[in-house]
Amino acid sequence: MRDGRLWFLHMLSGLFLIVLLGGHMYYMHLSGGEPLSVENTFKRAKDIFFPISYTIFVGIALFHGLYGLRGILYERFHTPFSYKLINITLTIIGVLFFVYALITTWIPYFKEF
Amino acid sequence: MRKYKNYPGIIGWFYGGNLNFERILFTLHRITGIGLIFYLFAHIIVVGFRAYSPEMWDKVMSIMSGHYNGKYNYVIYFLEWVLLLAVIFHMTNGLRLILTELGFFIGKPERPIYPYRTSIDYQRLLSWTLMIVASIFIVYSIFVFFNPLKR
Repeated sequence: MRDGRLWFLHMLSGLFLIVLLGGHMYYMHLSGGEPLSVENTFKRAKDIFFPISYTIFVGIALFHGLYGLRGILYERFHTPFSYKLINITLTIIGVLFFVYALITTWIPYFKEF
Repeated sequence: MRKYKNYPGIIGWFYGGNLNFERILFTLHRITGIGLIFYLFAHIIVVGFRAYSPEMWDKVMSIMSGHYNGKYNYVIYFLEWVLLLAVIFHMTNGLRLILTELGFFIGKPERPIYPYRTSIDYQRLLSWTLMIVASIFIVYSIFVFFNPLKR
């Protein structure tokens, strides 16, 4: 049942990513202009919409990616011990990256450079 | 690790069962998925540099970005395009997987009367449609990325 719920969340996060990542890729790579310039980057960082959406985005992307990786690793290493090891390792990796992303997203919002 | 005689391992991604269109999509979905998760880790680290200072951001982007301040790093620029291809493919094929998982485009259960039809017969149209959609986006990305008049 727990796996069923996680699988459903994996699909749901995939649907969200189609919208979020599609928009992100379009804005960053296809819309032209200079979205990465210092001026534009720090202007976005001060706009509350972007830190909030980045936080949601990175959380969903990490869950979706790590759950997918978990499935591939489960297929390769199939013992109860390896399942536990995979779960713990991927959870730690996910939490660490999420916390790092959270900190580095919100610092430019609060800090005056 | 427990060994199963019928478990083909990673090589099985490429030949396990029937090497049909969906098998190729499955393999590409896994390869792009693994690539994207490792890219995401690198992306979080690189983008995190903006928390230090605008000067640091400027320095990192001038090294790591394919197109920054009007200058091109052609190797990274090309890799950015490859990344975009991986994202486009993974998204469109992911949509196919979600739709078929939820029971769309696989037909209704029917009696096995000759000539037999499988869910693949119904699903194939969806697969091709979504890959054509992906191709349209890819062609558009080629025009944007490799047309100097655009930038």
